[in-house]
Amino acid sequence: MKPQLSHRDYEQISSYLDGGLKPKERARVEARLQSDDALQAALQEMRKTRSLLRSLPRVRSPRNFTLTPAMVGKPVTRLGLYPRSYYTLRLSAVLSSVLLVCVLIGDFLTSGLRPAMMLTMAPVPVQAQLTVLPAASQAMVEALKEIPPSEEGGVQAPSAPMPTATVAADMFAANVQATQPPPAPIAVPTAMVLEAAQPKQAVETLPPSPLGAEVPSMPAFVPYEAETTAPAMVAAPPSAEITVTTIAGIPLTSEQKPETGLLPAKQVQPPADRYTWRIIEVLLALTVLVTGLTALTFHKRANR
Amino acid sequence: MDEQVLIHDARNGDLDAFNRLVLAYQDRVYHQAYRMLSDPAMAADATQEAFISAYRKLNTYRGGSFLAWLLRIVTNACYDELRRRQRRPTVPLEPIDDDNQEVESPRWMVDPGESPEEAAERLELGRAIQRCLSKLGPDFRAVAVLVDIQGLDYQEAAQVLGCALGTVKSRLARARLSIKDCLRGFRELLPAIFRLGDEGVI
Repeated sequence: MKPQLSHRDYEQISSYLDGGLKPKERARVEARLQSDDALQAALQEMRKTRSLLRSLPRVRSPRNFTLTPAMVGKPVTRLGLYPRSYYTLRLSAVLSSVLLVCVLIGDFLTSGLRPAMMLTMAPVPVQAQLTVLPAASQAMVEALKEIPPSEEGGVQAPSAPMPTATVAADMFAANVQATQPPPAPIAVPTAMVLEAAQPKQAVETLPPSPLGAEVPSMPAFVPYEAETTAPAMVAAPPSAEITVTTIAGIPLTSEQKPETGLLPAKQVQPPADRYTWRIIEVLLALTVLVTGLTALTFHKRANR
Repeated sequence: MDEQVLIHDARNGDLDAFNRLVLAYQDRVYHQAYRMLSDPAMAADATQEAFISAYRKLNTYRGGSFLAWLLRIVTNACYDELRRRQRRPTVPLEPIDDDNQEVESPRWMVDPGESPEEAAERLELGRAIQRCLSKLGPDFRAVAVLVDIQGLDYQEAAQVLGCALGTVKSRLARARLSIKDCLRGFRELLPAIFRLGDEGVI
């Protein structure tokens, strides 16, 4: 009667046949095989079984299994045809677009806030100037007059200044209403201050009627003028000079040169931040264009 | 051409490159499916399905034996097919019966060098072994086909089946034991040299 072999025994002789045992295990199995006839017989039978299985002829495929484009369809081309850079380009185009929108919104908001800041801060410099201006000698005013007005484009156009200013003022007024709800109350003091500040040297040159007509819209007009001539970014403390300049910049006539003459020199200083914004915006827009177009090219090529 | 170059090109959408790989491996893949399913038509379907699936999943191939990767896909396709069969009990579990001549076409069984009697013996033997294989559970069948018929080593078989080396050893031993017991029932079909239980020399 053969002693019953365990599954572990069969597993060992099966692995032994294939040379899958570690040296120690193999030595142990070989030692057992010398004395254990049942194990020896099991090994022989398993060897025969393995030989039978190995004797099976290799079956050849009855036909070719090559694929046609119709079999693999579109999802396959999507997987295989895009270069890896396509996904990077696509992602960077999306991120750049989002960033560009954020920067544009930020730029717009800070531009929109500026008039309010100017209006609230304006009275102080104007008051200060009020004290200075009376003391300023007539020579200083004369010197200011000598500054060529050509730096101010608006000054060169004495004819029909009012409509331009009014349109611009209206446009900005609408804009300010959206972003800065109460422009008018703030604008009034500034205008009043300006009116008070200017008479001493500008009464004879500045006709009261046009200035009076422009006063309510003056502060609102500032940011657009500043943008077109010499953009000041955000926190540049708006002085009375700037206010006057921008007031005078577009609508005022050449007789108002004394006041406007101050402006070009003052306006040149602040635009560094604004230029930084512009550079960032342009760079982002270029990134969006380049990455987006390249990704689009890959996409078209892949789906050709 | 280098296999890795073909794989790279196929990944980039070159269907011709992939088809060259198909031609190189289709016999091995079909053989696996046939031994797993015991039915030529189903094996052909599984093979085709496996190659389509392989093309779609080519970006999941992480190097190593491409054959092992393909065999894994086709083996999984066979598992799916076997599960489908179990859900449809009207379909016979064992398509081979004693009268069925077209189950295993003699076309690829015949060795030009052997006599008609030897060829017939071989055919009978092949049928008997295939029948015993089909009686195994899918997991045991797969490992027996991979190691004893396809000639993979334990490590490759473990890679194909996604299981541990010990599992491969254990399943293989059980599969061999079952086939040995099964083949006893076909003793009269086996050539004398293969008769189990006799003192034949292998």
